Amino acid sequence: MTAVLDSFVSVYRNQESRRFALLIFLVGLGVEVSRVAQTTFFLKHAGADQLPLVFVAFAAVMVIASSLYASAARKVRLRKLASIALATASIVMTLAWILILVEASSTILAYALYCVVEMCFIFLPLTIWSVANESFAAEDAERYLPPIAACGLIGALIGALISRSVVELVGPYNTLPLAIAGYGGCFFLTRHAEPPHPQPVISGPWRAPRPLMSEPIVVTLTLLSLPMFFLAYVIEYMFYETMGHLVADATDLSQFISTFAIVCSVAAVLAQVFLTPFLFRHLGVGTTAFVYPLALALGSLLALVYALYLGSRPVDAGAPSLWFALFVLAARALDIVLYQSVYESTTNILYYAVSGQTRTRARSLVAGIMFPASVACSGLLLLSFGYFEQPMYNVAFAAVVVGFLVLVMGMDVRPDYLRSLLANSDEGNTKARAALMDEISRLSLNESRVLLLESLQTNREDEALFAVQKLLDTYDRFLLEDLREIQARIQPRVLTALTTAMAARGIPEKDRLLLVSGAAVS
Amino acid sequence: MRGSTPLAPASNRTEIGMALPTLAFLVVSLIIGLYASRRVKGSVRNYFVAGHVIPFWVLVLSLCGQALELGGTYDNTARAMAVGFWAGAVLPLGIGTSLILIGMFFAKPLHAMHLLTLPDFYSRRFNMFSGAMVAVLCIISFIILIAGNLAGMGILMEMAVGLPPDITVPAIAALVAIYTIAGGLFAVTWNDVLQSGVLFLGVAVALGVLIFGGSPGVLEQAFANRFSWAPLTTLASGSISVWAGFLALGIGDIVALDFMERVFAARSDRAAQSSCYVAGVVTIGVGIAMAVIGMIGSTTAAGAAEGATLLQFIDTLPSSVKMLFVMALLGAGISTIDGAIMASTKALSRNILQTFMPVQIPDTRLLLVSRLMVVPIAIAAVLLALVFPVPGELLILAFDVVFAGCVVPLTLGIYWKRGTGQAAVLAILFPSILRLALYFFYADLGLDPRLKGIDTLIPPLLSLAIFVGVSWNQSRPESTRTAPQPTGALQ
Repeated sequence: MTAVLDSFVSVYRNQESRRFALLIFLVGLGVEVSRVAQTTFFLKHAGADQLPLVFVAFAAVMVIASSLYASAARKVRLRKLASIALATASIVMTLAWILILVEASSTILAYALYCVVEMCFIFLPLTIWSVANESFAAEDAERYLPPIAACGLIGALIGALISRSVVELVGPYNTLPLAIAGYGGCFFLTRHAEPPHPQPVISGPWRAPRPLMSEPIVVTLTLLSLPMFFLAYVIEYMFYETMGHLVADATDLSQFISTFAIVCSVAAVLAQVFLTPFLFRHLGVGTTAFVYPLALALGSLLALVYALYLGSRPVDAGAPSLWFALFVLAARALDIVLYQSVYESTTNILYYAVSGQTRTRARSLVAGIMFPASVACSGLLLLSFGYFEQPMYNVAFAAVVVGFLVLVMGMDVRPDYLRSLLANSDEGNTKARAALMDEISRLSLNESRVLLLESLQTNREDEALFAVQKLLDTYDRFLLEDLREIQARIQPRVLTALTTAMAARGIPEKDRLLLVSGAAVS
Repeated sequence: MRGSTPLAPASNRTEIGMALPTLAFLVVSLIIGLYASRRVKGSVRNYFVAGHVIPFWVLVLSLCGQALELGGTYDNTARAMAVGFWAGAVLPLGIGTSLILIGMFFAKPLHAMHLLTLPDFYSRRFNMFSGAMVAVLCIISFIILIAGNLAGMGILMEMAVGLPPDITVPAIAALVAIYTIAGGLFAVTWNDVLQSGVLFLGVAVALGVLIFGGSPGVLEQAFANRFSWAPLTTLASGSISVWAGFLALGIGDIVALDFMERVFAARSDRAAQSSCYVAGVVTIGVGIAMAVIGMIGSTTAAGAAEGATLLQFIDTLPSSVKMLFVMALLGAGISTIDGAIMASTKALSRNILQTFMPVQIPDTRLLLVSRLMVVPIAIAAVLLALVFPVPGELLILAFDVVFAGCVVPLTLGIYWKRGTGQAAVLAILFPSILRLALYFFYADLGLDPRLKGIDTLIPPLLSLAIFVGVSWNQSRPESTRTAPQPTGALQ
């Protein structure tokens, strides 16, 4: 507990981290307030059955918005981009609120508001985090970023609390000015942010960034995001479908959604403050990355239980039982809580295994292409199931199947994180080496061998020589067999270094000769 | 479960409602397999035994996926419905026991040897010829196993999507072959996570709905109808056959290639051992649940009718439960097919082709050859499935032959240092021939039909006698000699 308080105090004492904490807090607050209004408005004016369509529409809008965002990101500095994004968000949200006030065409506005708020949810945190990553050095990032992330969650919690308390007084949609004010405040804060820090965090600055798709951790996180977001949106659909049936009145619905958001935010803050550091300490970053995919898979199973319950009732049975609805609420809560806490923090650290430039491009790829693609896929799947008049349990079964896919893909995060660490860490980069050694120490002998043997075959000499030393620490005859299998793919200089190191460690000459003769033959 | 009868032909019902879940299931299986191919990275060890990095929980699901194969799972439920609990439950009890025995006596020593295939043990411990013989016997039995499962999948797919087996059997074989070629054991074990997961889910939901959603007292009525201890204790009730089946599965499946390749793939010997224990217990649990479902089926109008089949009973389930139950059976089938294809292609390429053509197939070409061998194995299984869709007795016989000859040399090869190569070859060859002879000439020998099952138990005893006798008579212990080794670095 003292450590938690200390981390918040350290954020407060540093001017730059204080600024980012406030920025993230305001964005969290704005997004939460606007999401409560957006959901209520959509469910009341378009209906839950139109959610699949709005998913597809949102994906289409995101493609355009991402292109514009990427184009802007290439032309202007991140700080300026953040200011532009925040200003645009404030203006568009103001416009939407005015249209709601003048009672403009509701269905179209429901679609538009949905898309705008979701884009704010995606782009604003993405931009602010990119600026933050650029601003802090490795040591500072590890110290400041988790409490700053917690401030974002606290912002979301306060946003939900405000929505819950004032909605009866001002109506479900008149909380939007609070979001507008929050984004406006962020706009001014970003204009006064410090210039970027010259040092990337873990990866060394002395090496040119590798191509984006040659970074194993980037490939894995990018591919994983597709089924993961797909699943999250299918669960979201089932959640809103259920809410639409359970709560009839707009104000009640708004209060219900904000209450749910409060519960999730409190849980997310607690998870961020207690669970995430606990998991990092005991499992390591790589294994912690498996927690969110696991939660999504579990969520899909819970959703299936609810869908089976729905399938067992007559068509005209009325509103579903709240007890069974708890299954789908739990599925959604698992998604929100662990995404905002464990997953966000973990991916932030995982991306530090690659260079800063690669990191920014990878994040843009996920947000700009994979995210809309997965939302579109979930929308299209839901539309096709609707077209063929498939029952909810068939949709939920498809989600369960994708849940298993997410689970399986999640198993790749840890080894690929290590591959990227191995590829990007140099002897002089003590920070990266420490992270690397920590992860390797958590692996079984066979797991570490597979990774180090791969490193031995690269053309990056520093990485291969590191692998030589680590492999020989656990030398046995099975390692010799493995080395003989791959010796044709080892660079000659590395092979020489290997045999020299073997000799230095007193490994019998006959073993070394097997490698040397094999190399000569090949 | 091995040695059980695959699905009986289905009615011609078509359920469009199950087409989309089925499609989702198959597409995701393919995606998982293709995604897993990233892990192979051109290494034979990664392709054959997943680099020995498979974690405990994946191993448990994967072993269960292999143990709970379609024919056995279906047959267990159908027999429990038509005959009684033990007639069905003996299958999962036997196979679960074999997993526990593997965990107790085989997992640690075999994992420590860093083997690529089970016949490698025979090659390394005895001689290459014994390894090749074991490989041949296992490949034949596995092709029959794959064919039985493919035929069963064809029938289920007809029920689920309305397409005839002539289309679905080759299509499923192609799908499985594609991802097996791409991802090797990584693809197969990772798919087991999905397939076993769906299997457990389907069984749990079906059992829950039948017990808690059915009429009151349904479980008591089911036990009153179909449970008795007599099949275990009374000769007239076929106790020898039940015990022989249990022993054949419990001991015979110790030499199952697909179980052993998972043991080899474990990230540690402890993981290998514990996963066998847990998978054994889970297999028995799921198998008993399936038998109980069958027993409950016997209390329903559809299940109690004269000549009723399990598919007819499944048809009467609520549509959501029916969908999940059919998906569970699909999961059971596909998980066995991919594992069996993988295991047989490895044995074929490594222990037969590379053993006898070491120059043409050096280690550098072994991966390519293994991938290519998936195609003929899959084609052979498809042809067998289409021509002879209910292998029944043939499948039982194939696994009995493996039980007859391969178990004793494996066990004593680990625990008795004096076992010799010559003893191993003879202990594999003669009991296998004896088992075939007993199958064809059992009736001519004038043996009591109530003793049916003893033909399964005699050959392994002969194998034990031959192995011990011949080894004992060898002048010096085999352990002091240098057995010929497979070529190349991958020993």
